[in-house]
Amino acid sequence: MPPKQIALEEWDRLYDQLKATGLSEPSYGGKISRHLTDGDLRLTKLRFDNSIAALNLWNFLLTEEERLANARAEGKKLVGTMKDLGTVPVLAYSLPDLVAFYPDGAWWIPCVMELSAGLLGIADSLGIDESFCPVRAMLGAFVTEAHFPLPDLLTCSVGATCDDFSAIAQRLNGLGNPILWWEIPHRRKPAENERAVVLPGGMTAPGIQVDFVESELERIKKALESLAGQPLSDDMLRDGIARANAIRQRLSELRSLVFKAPVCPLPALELLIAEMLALHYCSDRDASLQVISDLLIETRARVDQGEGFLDAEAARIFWVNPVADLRVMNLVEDCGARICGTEHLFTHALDEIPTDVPPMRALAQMALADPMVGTAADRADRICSDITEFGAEALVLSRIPGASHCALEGGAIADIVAARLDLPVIEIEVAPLNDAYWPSLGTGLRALVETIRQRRGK
Amino acid sequence: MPTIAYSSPFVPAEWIASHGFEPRRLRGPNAPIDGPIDSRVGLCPYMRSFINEAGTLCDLAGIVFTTTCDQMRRAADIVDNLPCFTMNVPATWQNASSQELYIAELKRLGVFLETAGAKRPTETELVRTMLKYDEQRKTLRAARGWNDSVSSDQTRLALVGGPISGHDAVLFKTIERYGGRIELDGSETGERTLAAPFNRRRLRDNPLLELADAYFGTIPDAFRRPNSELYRWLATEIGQRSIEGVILIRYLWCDLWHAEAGRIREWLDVPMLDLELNAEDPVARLETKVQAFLEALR
Repeated sequence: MPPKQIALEEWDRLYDQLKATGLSEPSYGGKISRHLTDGDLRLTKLRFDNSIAALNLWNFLLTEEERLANARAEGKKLVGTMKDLGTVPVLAYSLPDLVAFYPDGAWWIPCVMELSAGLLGIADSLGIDESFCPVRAMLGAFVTEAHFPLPDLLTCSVGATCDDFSAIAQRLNGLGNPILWWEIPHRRKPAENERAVVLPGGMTAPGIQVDFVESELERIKKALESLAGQPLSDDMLRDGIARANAIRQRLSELRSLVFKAPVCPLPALELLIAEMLALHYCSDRDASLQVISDLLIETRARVDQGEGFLDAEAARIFWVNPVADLRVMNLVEDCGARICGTEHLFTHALDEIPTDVPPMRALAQMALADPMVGTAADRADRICSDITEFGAEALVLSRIPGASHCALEGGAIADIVAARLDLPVIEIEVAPLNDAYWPSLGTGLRALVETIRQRRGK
Repeated sequence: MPTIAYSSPFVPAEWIASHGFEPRRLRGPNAPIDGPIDSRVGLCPYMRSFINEAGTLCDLAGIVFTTTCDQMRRAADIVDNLPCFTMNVPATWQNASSQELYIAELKRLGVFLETAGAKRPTETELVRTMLKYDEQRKTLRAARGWNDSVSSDQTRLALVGGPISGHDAVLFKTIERYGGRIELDGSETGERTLAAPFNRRRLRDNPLLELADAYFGTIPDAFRRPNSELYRWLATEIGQRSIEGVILIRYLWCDLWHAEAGRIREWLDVPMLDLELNAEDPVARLETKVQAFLEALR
């Protein structure tokens, strides 16, 4: 089946055809359109990849709530891991009968449900208004208990994280939800006479900071052991890290294929969803690996056959920060561009976790590699390196409305990248729903595509 | 004497002073000034005024930023012509390791000061400096009750929240003009952030530990996780001073205090006014709110 982006109703027709020819599906399979009955109205405005691998990806993403409910019904304990984006779930999934998820993920609910869930209104009523990042939807999700079961344990990383999240989590705590706070310090460069540790991704941090984060993670580990009712041995954690790395390796290969292929083999939207699976495996680690592996096989086949989207002349864009409105990923392709590199604030969840050090130490190194806990210059270094590797021709900095870090960080990253690589850079702001701003967002992206094409001619 | 500029109450002035530098806690100029940081959407105006004011100091040897808020932490990224130090102040506090990290950061600050030309203080010099500052804070605390004649038509108010810049200090006069009286200054530039009195025995045994305890161990603030000590402090102070109303002051884009507004309002037994400042507009635009609040309290 040649690759194509299709609307929801086209997927329904295709699904019927596939079923008629004996489509075999995982337990979470079905028509994507069935999720409309859950209120996922945004699906009607998206265009989807037409592969079976993408069908499974979407169904897997959109059935997480059911998986969490089933896990609880089976007697498993649920761990709500907030903010660290990729670290605590590795610990939690190393213990049997623990399932970790990110309540932070609620930040997409206003988009996916097109504001029909009322979560932002609830956040407003609690004093968390639109001057905060859209992750404030999480507060509403906790109040309504309609989008995920209340976890048995709630953890939150603080310190060098964004103020929005820290403040919202504290508000959640003030509403009576106990939170186990743990600290990630602001990552700095080691002094000349200090012990330096190389982190995943190539940055360095002082040994004293790695020691500290390791001690913080030990507290989390103890809490998880208590919840699970059994100790977490180093061997169990090594196995958990190996499984996390298996997912990361496949994602790394997928990203490399998508970004480097002459013709874009996978749309930006599906790649974004796939990358997100690295954070907590969408509450099922084995199924997550399968979904990504299938997507990789499909993508590899397309690359081998020279199939894909747009053409080889498509403008190659590097994208920074996740978008609160998924539809914007479709817009990129509408404007004649393809994504050739991303930095969605969780490169530490994509880079492989070290296996040559004790496992808790490895997780501490990974946590400290979080792009949010370092400087804008560190982020820019990584972005420059990836732009060079993936051959991107321009940078789009996608601001998150209200996010305390974006006002300063965006400009600093733009200055460094533009100066070092001589690339065009634009900053845009993406709210949970952008239908009213569609023309202006499109104009900005089209202007960037034009600029890229003109630069090619020089 | 070379100056070290800082803004956070978690930077101990006596630690800087004992190194032979003048610690200058800037609170923002009386009028907006231009400098390295321009005005843009999403940028904390207090952070901007702090850096721009620091840039005007001719004897400046360095700026100390802290990680207590996102914007101050990231500000160090964009100041490129001045020597800067970013001090990690942990948000968590219920574990010994957090205080150990804070102490390690004090030592690192000491190295930064030495690099800037300071000399490392002996333990005796540090103790002497700490005692001097402790006495000054004692005097400040004693001054709190000097003007104790509250007239019956004055409303007893508490200020709570972030810092108040020099420009916005006119707020105090505004409050008095409409019949209010600040009985408790719980702003970041007020008594809430005074370090605790030193324990003299511990001071002599281990001055750095005592310094950390008096600052990191006791100052209640919105950024701390959990920030329950802030509410404990407020409950004690508001109760002791018969407070009739609370004014929460916060700067535009300050998420930490903004997020507390709803919780403080729910928690208080007295009315609260939420005032958003931007360090640049005249406070006069807030006069109506202050006036209405005080009228409602009578």
